[in-house]
Amino acid sequence: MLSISILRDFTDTPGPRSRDEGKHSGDQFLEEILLPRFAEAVQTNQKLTVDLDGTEGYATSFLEAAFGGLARKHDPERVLKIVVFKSDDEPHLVEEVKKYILEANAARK
Amino acid sequence: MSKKLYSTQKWKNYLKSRQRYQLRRTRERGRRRREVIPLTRTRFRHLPFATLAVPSSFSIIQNPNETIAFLREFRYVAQRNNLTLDLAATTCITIDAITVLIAEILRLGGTRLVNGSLPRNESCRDLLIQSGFFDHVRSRNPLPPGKKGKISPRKSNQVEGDTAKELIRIGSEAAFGSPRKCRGAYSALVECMSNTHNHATGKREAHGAETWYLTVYGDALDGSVRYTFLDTGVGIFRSVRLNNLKKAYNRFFKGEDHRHILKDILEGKVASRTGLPFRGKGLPGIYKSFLAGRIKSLIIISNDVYANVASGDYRILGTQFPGTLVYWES
Repeated sequence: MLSISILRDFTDTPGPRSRDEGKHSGDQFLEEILLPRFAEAVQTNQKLTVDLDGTEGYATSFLEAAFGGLARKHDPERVLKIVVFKSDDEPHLVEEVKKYILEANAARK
Repeated sequence: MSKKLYSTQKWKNYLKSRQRYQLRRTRERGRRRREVIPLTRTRFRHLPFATLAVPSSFSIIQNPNETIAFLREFRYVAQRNNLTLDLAATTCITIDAITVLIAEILRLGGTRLVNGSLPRNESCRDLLIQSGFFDHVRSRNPLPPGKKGKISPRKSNQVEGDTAKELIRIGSEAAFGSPRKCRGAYSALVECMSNTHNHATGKREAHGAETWYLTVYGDALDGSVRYTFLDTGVGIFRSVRLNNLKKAYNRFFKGEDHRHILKDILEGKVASRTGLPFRGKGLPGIYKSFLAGRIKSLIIISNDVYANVASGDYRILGTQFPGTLVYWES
């Protein structure tokens, strides 16, 4: 199983939605970390665990840009099948992120 | 041959009367819009000192009308004077008012001298010193450094997660004795910075041109950390994208005003200015954090609206607040 820890692989201070707003944005995380690992998980037919723990916190815009953004580039159903979310610090984030993925799906239609 | 129209006495009288009317209108307009007169760049040492009495309750969250009126007066008087702030009779000061006062002083860009007296009330004096206020104004007498809080003015061309982290550490250490993470506060701070970057300049200007000011104050007595986020932009109601026809209909037929619009924004019912369905989650995200108990005592003041979200007290103010102020505790 592949894994991403946002704290280990990206930053402890996740930022805003887009790169022009500031450092460690959701768009940056999507393009530099999430998309390559997701592609690898698809190729090798593995699950991808995303660990949200250990950071200072998340703005909704970061989560939406990263995971909603992933669902805008790939089929949301497929994203939900492959990506497994882990958040012991803030368990509500798991449902929130899944909602963004499904809302991205609604935006596609 | 008939007399020319423009040389008749009747026409001359008409022109004179129009001239008098227009002159009167221009003078009245000047009086009404006194705040838009640009800051005089006269060297400050040639300017007289004007004394301004700070309200006894200097608090935007507790005494919004009087405090905002004072801050507007500060801005007006500073156009042609150096200032002496009389804080002696002040018996209540809160961190939000200090933040806005600092923003006003910094806006002067060193072109005016601002001095003043310390409050006689001990707790007010302590708050003023400990909040970091004197990092931004000069004091004749040496003062102990502020340890309980920090005021951090920044340009909003960037959302600064590191600044948010640092201020949360300072506030939590002052309140609880050791630095702690506060994910609700972090999330709210990043949302606020992002909102300033994207919306505070309104429609006509480029993004990232407005300034935000962020203050944190840790209170060991009641074990709370107080956050004030101020953006000096156009305010929520001048930046939000609303259908004008719908707005007019709601105002005249349903009796709705900016209070109702703010409630709708918080509940995520107002679409983002970008028109994208997945955008516009900033203020609703802060509201959700409040509902889930991750932050407390949420108060939002913008343009003519005061909203104590925690107590459900939504009010129309008698005066316009220049920008947006978001206050919460954790």
